Amino acid sequence: MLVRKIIRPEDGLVGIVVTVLIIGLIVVITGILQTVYVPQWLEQKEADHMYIVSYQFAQLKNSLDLLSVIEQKNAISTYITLGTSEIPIFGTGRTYDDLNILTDNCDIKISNDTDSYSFSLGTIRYSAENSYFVDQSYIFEAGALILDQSGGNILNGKPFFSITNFTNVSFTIINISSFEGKKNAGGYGTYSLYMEYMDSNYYTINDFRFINITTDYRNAWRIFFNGTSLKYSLLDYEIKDTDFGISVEFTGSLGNLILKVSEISVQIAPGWIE
Amino acid sequence: MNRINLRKLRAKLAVSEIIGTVLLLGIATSCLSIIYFNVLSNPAPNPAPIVEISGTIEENQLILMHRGGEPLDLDTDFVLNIGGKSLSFKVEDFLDSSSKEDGVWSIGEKIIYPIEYDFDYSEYPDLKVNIIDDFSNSIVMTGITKIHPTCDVGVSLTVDQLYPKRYDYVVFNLTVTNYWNINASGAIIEFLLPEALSYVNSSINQGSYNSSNGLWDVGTINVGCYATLNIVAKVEELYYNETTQFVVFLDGSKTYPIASSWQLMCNGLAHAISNEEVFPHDDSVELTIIQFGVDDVCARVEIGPIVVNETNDQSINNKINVLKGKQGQGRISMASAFYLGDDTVAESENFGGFNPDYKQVILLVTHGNANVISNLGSYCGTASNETLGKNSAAIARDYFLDSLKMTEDKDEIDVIAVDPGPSNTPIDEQFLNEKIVWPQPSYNGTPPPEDDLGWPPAGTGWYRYVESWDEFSDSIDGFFRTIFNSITVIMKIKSTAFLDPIIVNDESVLVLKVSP
Repeated sequence: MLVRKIIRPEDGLVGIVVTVLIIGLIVVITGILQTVYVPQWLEQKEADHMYIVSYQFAQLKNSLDLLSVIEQKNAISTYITLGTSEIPIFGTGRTYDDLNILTDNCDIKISNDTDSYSFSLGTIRYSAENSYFVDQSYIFEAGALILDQSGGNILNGKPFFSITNFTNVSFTIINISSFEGKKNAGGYGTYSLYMEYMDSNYYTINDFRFINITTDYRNAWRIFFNGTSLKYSLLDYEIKDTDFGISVEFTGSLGNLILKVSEISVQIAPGWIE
Repeated sequence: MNRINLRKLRAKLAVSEIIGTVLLLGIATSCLSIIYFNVLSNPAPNPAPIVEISGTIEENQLILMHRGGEPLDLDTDFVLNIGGKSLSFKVEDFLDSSSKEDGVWSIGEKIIYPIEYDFDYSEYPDLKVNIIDDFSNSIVMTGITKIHPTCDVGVSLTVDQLYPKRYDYVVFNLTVTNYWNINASGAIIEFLLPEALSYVNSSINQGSYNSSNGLWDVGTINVGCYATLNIVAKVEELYYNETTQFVVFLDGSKTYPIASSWQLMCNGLAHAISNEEVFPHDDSVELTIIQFGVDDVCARVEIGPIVVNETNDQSINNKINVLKGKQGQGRISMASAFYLGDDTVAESENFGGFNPDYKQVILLVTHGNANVISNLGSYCGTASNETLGKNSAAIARDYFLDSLKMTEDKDEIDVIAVDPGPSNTPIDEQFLNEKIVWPQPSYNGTPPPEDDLGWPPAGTGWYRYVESWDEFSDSIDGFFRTIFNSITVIMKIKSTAFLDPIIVNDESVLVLKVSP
């Protein structure tokens, strides 16, 4: 009885209350970090990863262009990083992306009044599955490097297109081929793309009147044709949207077009070359 | 006793409570410090939208393109510092209607801001642009670039008389016009009178003209406006004193329909050369006449090389009269003429021997297509077809240019083609225009002669097609006057503070044909 009188109940509560308050404070801070800061970190991290992929795709286009230019039986490997790693301590934020080689995904048709030349081309497509940043895709299509995201697409790299004597056009496109089983990769990690030059064919098309491109990326191809020296040539042309892409129609005095089609085999090859 | 023990006990308990609280606070402080260190030592997240925007200036428009990342609201601020002023807009003010349909500025969409150059852009050459996200109150894009205004300014030069006489006064009218949609600042026009003309006086409606260096500082020309300058000059001297080696290649082949045509041509030539008002007789011109189409496949020197003066002009006239009866009537050995002409000019001892700094003028007169193959070192060739003959002639002409070190600023090869008549193959005018006339591109004064399009030529290297030998004989004075008695005056834009995308109207040339 005497001890109870000496140690009153409220004396013991002080420590508990302080402990509860401290734990509460920690929980609140952790909650703020998880709900406010962590998403912003993750968004920035995913955006940084997209910049890396952008650079890697620029290297990929560079390598494909080189193979097309030198026209020799050679191979080059480049690397694409899929997904982002989780952030430390919190252990969240890992993402997984896709890399695919698509066959017959883009058609280019060039025609004059009597003949028509049609090419069905394979493409390389990287798709990000981001959690916070905008989902973006990088596409290598017929020599063009395209960035696609919700709301539209733009051209990041153009295929070779040159005009001589104000009317004669040289145009180079690249067809990507692959083997079954080596066309897809998905998940997290860095994957190699093994690119091997196969062949190049040249076509001369006199008095060409149409260049039709079947594509999902009309705006990028429109930027491409508007960015060529066509506007400084003596050719009259009009760019129109079609049901499945765009069409460039030439009128008035026509020119000749030399088309180069380079065939390059690309394989997503973890372990393939061993 | 009991009271003392209770006090001690309470004191001990109080001390424990304090120590416990202090320890708990210490633990809490440590934990917070660790969290603080881990959290705040990392870079703070950027709350601004992550977006990539590129900017360019094209044709007086600032173009900002969304190149991926998060879309921006239409009320995003767009701030420009240009011409010493700060201008603030919303993104939606300069997006096209289709881009605004989704309510955001997203990938591939462009802000197109037309720059109004209503300021002195030579004083304010920089443009700064900021794009500010209102929500996060942060700058999502900033950039500084040099502005490069685009403007088309054209010049025009006219004269009150194209065919003055020596010591006449001529009035040049110079006009500079702004054809673009911005004010044109900093245009400097060059109009330097050649030695044959002396400056008398001038009147100007804008800017200042310095007659000693020929520069006209126009100042600013407003949209759609023009500035004029009138210059009075006196015709002083002709270019008779310029040392010139003049070679005439005459086609004596048998494609002449009748021998009288050859005689007609010789008459015209003799008359022109003997006329001092047309052909210099002051020891400044060395004349050589070479006929090709002689001995079937050869070329031959008929007259010269001889320096023409007042004492020998009659003898030259006599020699040309003798030439009337010496038509070769062979094949068209054009290449042989070039090889022979090259050696003749190079080996001439007149004027102290050949000097590439002398002016060399070649006039080729033909009425058919080359059909003889000739090789270097030979003045005779092998009969062939027209394709190979023309190819051989082009090769010989190129050799001629290289061998005599001819330069575009003073030397020339001109061609007069005479209609060969209906019974002969038409002349390959394109070949003569592009492969024989030099320098290129040539001035083609044909057709139609009656309109004199492109004639007189504004520079060296010209081609002229005439319908008949009668016309040739009548026109030869004019051709020689074009070669020897011309004064070329040039008005051109020397510098501007803007880019001029249309260069075709940046220069205006007049050629005066002067009579003594």
